[in-house]
Amino acid sequence: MMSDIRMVIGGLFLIYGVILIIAGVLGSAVNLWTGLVMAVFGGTFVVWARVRRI
Amino acid sequence: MRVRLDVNLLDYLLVAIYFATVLGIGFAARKRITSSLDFFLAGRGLPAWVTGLAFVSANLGAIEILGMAANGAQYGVMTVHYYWIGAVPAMVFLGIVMMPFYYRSKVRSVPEFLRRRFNGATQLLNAITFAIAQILIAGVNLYALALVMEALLGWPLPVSVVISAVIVLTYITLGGLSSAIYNEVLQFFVILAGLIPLTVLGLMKVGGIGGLVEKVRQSPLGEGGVHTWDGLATGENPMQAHWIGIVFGLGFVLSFGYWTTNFAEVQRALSARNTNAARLTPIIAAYPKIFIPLVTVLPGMIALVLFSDLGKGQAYNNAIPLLMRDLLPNGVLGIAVTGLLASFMAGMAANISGFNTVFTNDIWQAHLVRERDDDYYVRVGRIATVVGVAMGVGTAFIAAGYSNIMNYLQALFSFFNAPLFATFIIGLFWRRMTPWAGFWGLLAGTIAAFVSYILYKAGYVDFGTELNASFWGAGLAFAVDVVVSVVVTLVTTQKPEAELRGLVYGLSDVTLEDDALAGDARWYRSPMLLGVGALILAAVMYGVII
Repeated sequence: MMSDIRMVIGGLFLIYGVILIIAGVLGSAVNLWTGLVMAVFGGTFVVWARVRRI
Repeated sequence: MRVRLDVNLLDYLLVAIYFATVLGIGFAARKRITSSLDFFLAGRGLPAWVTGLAFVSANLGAIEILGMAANGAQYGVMTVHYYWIGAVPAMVFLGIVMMPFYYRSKVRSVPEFLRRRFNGATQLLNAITFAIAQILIAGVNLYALALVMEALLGWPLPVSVVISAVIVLTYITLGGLSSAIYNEVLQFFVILAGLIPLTVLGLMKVGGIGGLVEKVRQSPLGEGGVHTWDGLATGENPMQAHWIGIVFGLGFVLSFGYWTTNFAEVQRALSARNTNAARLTPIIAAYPKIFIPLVTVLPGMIALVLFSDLGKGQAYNNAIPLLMRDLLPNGVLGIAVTGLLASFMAGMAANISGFNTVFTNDIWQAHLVRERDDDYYVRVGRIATVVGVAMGVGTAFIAAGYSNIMNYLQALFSFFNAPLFATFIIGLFWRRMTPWAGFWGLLAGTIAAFVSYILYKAGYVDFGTELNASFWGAGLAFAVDVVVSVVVTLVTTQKPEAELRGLVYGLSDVTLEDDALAGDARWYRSPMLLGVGALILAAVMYGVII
């Protein structure tokens, strides 16, 4: 169950990150930077959940 | 004056993705519920980082965020007292001193602990006041969010009340405390994802920290706006507070009362997987708590500098919405709106899950319908959730008459938590304290707080500011509780020592097994070490901003 919530957080932030990166490339730099940070954060959670399973 | 955000399809897409995830968590958690322990305490199986983040998040409601930003704009940097002295020491105390008693006695709630230590009457008294408070606070939350959504997005008030209530209702009735806690952890990160870009952009606009300090000095707040302890001996500071009020009122009575006995918070720790994880819950929570003012108080001060009509034509509570409107592009704006919605739901979910547990466990099962099977009480819990949300919607409009919602909440906390803390602390450390002393002390303390607040509101006594009124109300309630508890103890009979084992300091329950897990002995899982670390960090932060 513990890995579930990490995957959910990671997944949501990856999706948000990708959407913002696309919006950023088309428009605002603020979206691009926030999107990049969120995608990296989300990716870290997904990797954490994959590496240390419970 | 209204602040209207220019949201577009992209923002709504981000909001919609979030709601879909939240409901998904509810459905996933539902599959795992097989007993009432699963429903009310998440099966006591969660790791400390999950319960710790839920502990912070349960307190990070929309009112807290908007209210603390409003305080930041109104009082300046001294608002951090709410965090560094008004939260961290109490959270550490809860983890180090009190949590072993709570967790190891295997109670499901704070009122249940009161029954074990005192008697059924004390349990019922606390359960009823707690249940009423949770419904009121849920109502305040709901109303505040509806106001924000009406102003920001143009949603009609009833629509946002109903939509938000239905979402919280759905995921708690489905998944009980597990889905509340998992959503709280998720919300914690989404809230930060919305507030951090806001703060960074705001700081860039005012010329960094140096530029901000300079401009706050030139604002109506003046020099007092950039200090935490300056002028506290004379009351010449933006809060008009005295250091005695800050240290004993806010730092001791209000904060220890709130953080150590408020079941909506303690419940998160009770759902941890073992004693060590339960003790670590509030201590892990203390670390993010130290830094939360960076995304609440700081933006409030930035708003003060950027919007000169704040506090005049513009309500202080609009500090964060104004920044969102002017600084965030569509996209990140959607994340920030999601974060506000999420933070509202975090607060309301904590109120409602606390309410349904206490209602089912301490009112229904303990005093009305006993000895039924476990499934029955899970059903009662689900019905209590529906009724609780419905009453929250109904009482939402009580909040309408109050200008500063934060003070209203503070007043409520001082009613219910300060005397409760007095009863707890005497009961834990003075084993002679009798069952009826618990009851009468708590009742007298609660009434004292009520009376002092009503006298203040009616204008019979003058405490200066609303904030000082809640300090003094809480202090008075605490003192009355102590005096009545001592006097009643002297004239009533105490509990036999055998029944107090594991519930008072110095009488440990030797029959309990050690529930430590492999790895609990490591330094990074030591409640004492991490707790002291949090205290030092809070003190260092004060050193940075004197």
